[in-house]
Amino acid sequence: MSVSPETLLLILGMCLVTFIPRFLPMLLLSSRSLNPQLERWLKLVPPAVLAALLAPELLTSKGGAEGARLFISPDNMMLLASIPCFITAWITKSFFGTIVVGMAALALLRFFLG
Amino acid sequence: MNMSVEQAGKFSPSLFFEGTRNAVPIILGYLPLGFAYGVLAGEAGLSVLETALMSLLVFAGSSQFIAVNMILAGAPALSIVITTFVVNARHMLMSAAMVPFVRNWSRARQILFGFGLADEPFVMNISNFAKKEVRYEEALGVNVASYLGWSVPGIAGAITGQLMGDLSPLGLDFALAGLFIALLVPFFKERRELVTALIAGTLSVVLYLAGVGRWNIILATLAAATIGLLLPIQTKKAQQEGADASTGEATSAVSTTSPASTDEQNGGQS
Repeated sequence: MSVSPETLLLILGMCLVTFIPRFLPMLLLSSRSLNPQLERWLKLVPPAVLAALLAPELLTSKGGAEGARLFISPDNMMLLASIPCFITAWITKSFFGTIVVGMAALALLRFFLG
Repeated sequence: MNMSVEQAGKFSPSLFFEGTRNAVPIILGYLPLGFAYGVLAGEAGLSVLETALMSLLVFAGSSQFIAVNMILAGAPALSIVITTFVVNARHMLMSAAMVPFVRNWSRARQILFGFGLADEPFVMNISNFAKKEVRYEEALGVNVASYLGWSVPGIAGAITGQLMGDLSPLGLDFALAGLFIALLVPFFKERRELVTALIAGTLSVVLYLAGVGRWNIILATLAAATIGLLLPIQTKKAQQEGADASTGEATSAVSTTSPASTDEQNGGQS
């Protein structure tokens, strides 16, 4: 149970470069009124960032940036499981339903095909 | 809910715990990931305390995984910090996107809330914000529960030093993808959001495969939001006015609590 000075410094550095981008834009922009165009642009950020995070998870093979490749195939169980998950999300709008269906789909696919 | 008491500035525990309940899917997804991080950190030579400190002070899953891998590979600390900045640069956009909803909060509240703005609490919160009036306590509850849901399994992983068995038969590793899907799909009601998401997803994959490393998320987000804004897409209101009976039925079926509905009202005013 010890903390080496080098590691502490590393963690503090990581903390700063993560924490500052998380609060500073919010803090600086809150005190001024936003251009309506900018506000509309910012409202597109959530769907964009979500899709940008999700798509590589579903459509590429795991294994680091170097070994990554497009993985659209019936062998891609994450992608297959995402289909009932998307449908459930669209129809039920339920968080839990969507997540449970996705997890169950992946589990069943692994059980029967894996 | 007693609004008059809340608006007097009193911290409402009931709203806070409503937020923590909303974070349960996030905690579920974090559980195996956090645990795996703790195990990996131990293998990279971090002590239990160091492993815990990183989760508690950084709270950024993907960059913690990358950092631990870089430590394992003997990378210098400065390069790890720079990589962390690149990986987390997207948070600047996410933070800015929060502005319309948090601008009346005090600076201290914004800073505390900002500390917990990892991807999953961000999207959970911003979806809530778009749906209804969300108070600070509830938003903070989402962040705090996510924070603990990430940190505690990491510490457990560091202490036990081994993975908690193979969880893949349970499909638990789909939890975060499932959460992202659950949060993303409501945006699809609005055509501009749908197109923006499709562009962002495509660009993110292309950039990732092209080897831009961890820049893919922020680059794809910047480009897609910009293209999405410029596209000549009809607003939902205009669509509905011109809609015939069949499409009218389709749109009304999904009209209740859309994150995009408030968006469109604002867009219409501008």
